Amino acid sequence: MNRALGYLWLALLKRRALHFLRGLRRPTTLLGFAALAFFLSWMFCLRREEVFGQLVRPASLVGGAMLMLGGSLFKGFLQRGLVFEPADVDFLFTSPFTQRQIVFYRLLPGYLFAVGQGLVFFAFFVSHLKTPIQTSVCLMLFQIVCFHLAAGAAIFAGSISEPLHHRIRWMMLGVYFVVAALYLRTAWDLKLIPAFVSSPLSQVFFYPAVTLSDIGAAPSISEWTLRLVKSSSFSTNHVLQPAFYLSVFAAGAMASLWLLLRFRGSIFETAVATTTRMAEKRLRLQEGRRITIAVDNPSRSAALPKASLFHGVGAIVWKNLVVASRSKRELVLGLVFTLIYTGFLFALRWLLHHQMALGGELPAREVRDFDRALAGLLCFLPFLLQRALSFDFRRDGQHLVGFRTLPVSSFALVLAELAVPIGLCLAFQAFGILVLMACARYEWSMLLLVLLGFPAVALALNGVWNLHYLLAASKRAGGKIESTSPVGILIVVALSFLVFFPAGWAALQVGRNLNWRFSELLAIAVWLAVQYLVDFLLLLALTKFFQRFEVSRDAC
Amino acid sequence: MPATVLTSPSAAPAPTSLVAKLLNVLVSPGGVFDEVLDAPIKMANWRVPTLLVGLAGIFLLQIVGAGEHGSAVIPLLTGPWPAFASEAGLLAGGWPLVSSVVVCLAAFTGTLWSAFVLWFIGRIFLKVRFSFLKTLEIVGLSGTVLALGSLVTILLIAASGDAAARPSLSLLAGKLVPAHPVRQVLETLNLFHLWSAMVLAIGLSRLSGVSFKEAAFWVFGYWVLVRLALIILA
Repeated sequence: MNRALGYLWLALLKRRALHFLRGLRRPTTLLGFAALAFFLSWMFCLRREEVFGQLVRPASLVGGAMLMLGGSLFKGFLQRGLVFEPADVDFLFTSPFTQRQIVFYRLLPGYLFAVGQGLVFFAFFVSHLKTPIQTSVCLMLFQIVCFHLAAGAAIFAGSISEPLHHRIRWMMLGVYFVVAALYLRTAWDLKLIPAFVSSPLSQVFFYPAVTLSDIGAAPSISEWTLRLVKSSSFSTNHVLQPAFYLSVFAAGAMASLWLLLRFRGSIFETAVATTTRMAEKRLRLQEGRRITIAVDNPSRSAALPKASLFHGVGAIVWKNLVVASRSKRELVLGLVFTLIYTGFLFALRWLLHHQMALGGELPAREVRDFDRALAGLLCFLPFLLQRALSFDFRRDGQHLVGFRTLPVSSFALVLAELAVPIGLCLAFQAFGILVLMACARYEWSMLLLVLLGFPAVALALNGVWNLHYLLAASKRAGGKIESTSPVGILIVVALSFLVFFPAGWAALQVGRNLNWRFSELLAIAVWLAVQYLVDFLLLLALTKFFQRFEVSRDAC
Repeated sequence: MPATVLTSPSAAPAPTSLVAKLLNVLVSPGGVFDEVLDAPIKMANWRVPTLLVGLAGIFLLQIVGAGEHGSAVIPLLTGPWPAFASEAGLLAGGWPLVSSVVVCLAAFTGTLWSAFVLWFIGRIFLKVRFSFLKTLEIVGLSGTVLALGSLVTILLIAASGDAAARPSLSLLAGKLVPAHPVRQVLETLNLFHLWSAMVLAIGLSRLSGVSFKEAAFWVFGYWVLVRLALIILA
């Protein structure tokens, strides 16, 4: 190892760590990090549970080792060459370092990861291992071996031709499949292969490496012969019927293919247009704009509203309503989501009703709790509707700076922006409740809870998604390329759940600690209060980021 | 077998008859396959050997059936006495015909299937295009090994008096019942099965233009390893 490269790596590591720490000033990064830390802490608290013991069973460890080994080998092989940072290519490859030194430099982050992984493993599984230190060190070393193999596979794959790479890739997949099936059978007793595949008749699939007499003397042939000579008639109904169905569908497939191939018309122009359209879509997605490309359809102008509700900042609400009324595809999509989800809940309730009609008994209190749970599950509906009903900041990316010039407060504008999607979410949820009420009974207190609770949930979810959008938009305006990466979406999804944690935790604490007649009611009240407080904080954060957006734009 | 004629390296080998091909494939499969690949498609190259395999299979089946079918299978199917005699009689009358038809069908189906497997391996895994009919010819000619294997099995049965005797490692496991997985695994390691796989590997190598080692990976992987894995896992 060259000392200069070691110094470079340490310096870059320090810089990345500082960059990461500075990044924690961004709320979404901080919250994402907090969510991860919370998850790990929660896992740490549960480390003495039996399930952790199952994870370090010899069978589990062998499976994990095989996964690590096979995965790293395959990943390295797919890379076809070591991956470096562009700056590394410019600097290292032109510097007087040997190839070994550069490869070792490339492996250093892997070594650090292996050490971290060993420490985490030790922390989580120390209580379930006989020799925890030895096992953790072995895991660390095994991970290092995997990195070496991955690097070796990457270098080797880069040196071979593309056809050979393709062929070896398939070979590896084939071997992995057989090894995985053998492992599942021996370690977990999972039978992926049905018993009939080892029957003599199935040996015909391995012709000519077969003994034909084994096929002819198969018990099923004898059985069939006996049935044939007993009935003195040759019945192939059980064979012909499936064959008939198969032949009908095969004929259908062939006929449709024949028709397709006879279709006269140039496919190339349409293909070029489609390809261009897809490329444009991809670009729009990367830039955080709408995927659907606006077409010049002659939409009629909407009349100016007369109601005072739509004056002032209410004009934003009116504008978003107009957008929503013109986005029929999104509304239909939202309706379909709602119908599927509500249909699922309704089916659950109907199943309970059906079982009770058949004689099943359930106390009235449990039936009521079941109905409440179904209503509670409707809270998840806004989560499903987020991408469809984005009639808020997410549609106004190009006008955000213009909105800042309006003579209204930022807080009021944020509220106005969120009003339409929240209203639509509530409308769909109300539809769901009405459907559920066809077979479930809800007392007035439950309806009141729904009336108060659903807006809090919808507000929180829409707040989180708009917060993410504003952060991404301000970054883009500041000249930083920010695409809607899967990690970003994952953080938003995690936040969408995390935002309900404080209210849920507070309600649980109150419910558990207060052994009182109205403790349930009080817990619900606490949940509502805390949730609305969180919503309010979210609105404030949105307001803050909306104001910052202008600054970012000016800085650009 | 015709005598070898010395020619200059650039001259194409003289075309041989089908009988010569069937015999040469046992000793020099690569040369036969080269000749087949250079020549136009000839359907007899796979139909005749497959028919031969079917006939050899039927012959073997009658030998095997006379020994083991009546003693082992019939009681399982017909149940205890008194139904035994009548149903055994029925079975003994119909079984040879049905099983012979099945063997012939298996030979032709197996040839088509194996050709498809080889063609699929080449098309998908090796990324090489070659004619399915040529593959069919090569698989058909490879069946000669199977026909020879049937004859050797007949001789082995006649010599040992055991209808379950096969030219494989199962000879070492005489006490195990045929359905036992260990016996099935040992039977998979049949000399003629391995020979067939080797010939198929040579065929795939010639068809696709890849090295023999690479072709052998796929052929032995499917015809030997997958088969063993299925027996063990099922």
